Amino acid sequence: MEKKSFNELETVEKDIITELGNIGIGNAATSMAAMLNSKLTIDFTKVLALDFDEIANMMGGPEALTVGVLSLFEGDAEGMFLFVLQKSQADNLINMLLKTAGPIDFYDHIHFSAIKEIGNIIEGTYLTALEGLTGLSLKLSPPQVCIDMAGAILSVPVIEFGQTGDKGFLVESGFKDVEQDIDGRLLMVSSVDSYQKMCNVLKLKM
Amino acid sequence: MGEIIKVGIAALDVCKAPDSITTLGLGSCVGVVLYDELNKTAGLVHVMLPDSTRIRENTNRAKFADTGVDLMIERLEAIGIKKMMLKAKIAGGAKMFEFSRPGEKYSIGDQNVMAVLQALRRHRIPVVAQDTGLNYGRTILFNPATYELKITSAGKMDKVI
Repeated sequence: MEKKSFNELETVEKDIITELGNIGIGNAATSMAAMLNSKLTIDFTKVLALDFDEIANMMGGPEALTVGVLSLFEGDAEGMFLFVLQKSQADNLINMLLKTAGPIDFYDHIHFSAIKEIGNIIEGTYLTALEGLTGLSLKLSPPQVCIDMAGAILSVPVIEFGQTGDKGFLVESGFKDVEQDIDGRLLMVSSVDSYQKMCNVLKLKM
Repeated sequence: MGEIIKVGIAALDVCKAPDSITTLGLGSCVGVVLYDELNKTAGLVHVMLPDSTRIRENTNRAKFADTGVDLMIERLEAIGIKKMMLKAKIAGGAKMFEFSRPGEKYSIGDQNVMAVLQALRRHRIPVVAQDTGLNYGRTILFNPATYELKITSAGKMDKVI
């Protein structure tokens, strides 16, 4: 079956998805703040339709050194989460978790585990909130970490929605810790069918 | 030194020496350079997906390996370049994350590379050099005066093919 285009989503559906994203990231930020003992706050959640190049530029240019933690989800709906932040800020997050300091030139397995765990908490909590709100049953894959140019990392979600049109439709949430210089993004990318499933359950309750 | 022409995702452009042409942060996408040594002219297309026939919204021909190579040749022919003079250098097609979808034998990067090579074979354009696959991103810069393709990756030495 061919995939639907994002133009087929209604405005009310986009509103519902934004709200789901808001609650998802709210829960994720709370659990992360507790884990890291930080003043992490949610910056925004928005549903975006972007050109491919706008997405590649969202982390400070296609060549900016970026850390991405990616998980796929499947079950009643399918899609992916990508937690991204600039490499220097990922260093800060890892330092907060490991109670260390300073820039990390080379990630060893401890650093990889740390950033993987942070990504897993964020994505897992977000997904659990989504399940609770929609009643859908979803399963999250183990997280994968990549440190590379932003353009190369963001090409993964870009290719996902490249299959359905020339604009990327994604749910972007930002969160910040000003004191620690952290400005991370969580992107959720799913298919139109899956977004509609998430909405349908809620529409019935309205 | 001339100007550097930037090509975006799912886009293409042409350039003539002393200008050079680049695309930034290729992940599983593939950058295809077609060049004419005599006229010191090159085209670069940044393709994202292997096969336009598998997708309904396929009007952007530069997005796909099959139609992207066709369109690149058309654009070069439109400025007087002959197809039989063209040679190719390609880079990209990495696998950025180690995950695969059920039923997918090859990663999207590998599929892109295979589809590009197939399209070039169909047009009988020789592939002079390629730097594809593996698990890291690439920025590429082609200089039509020297036919050199420079590949820059994060945390690695630059490479010229």
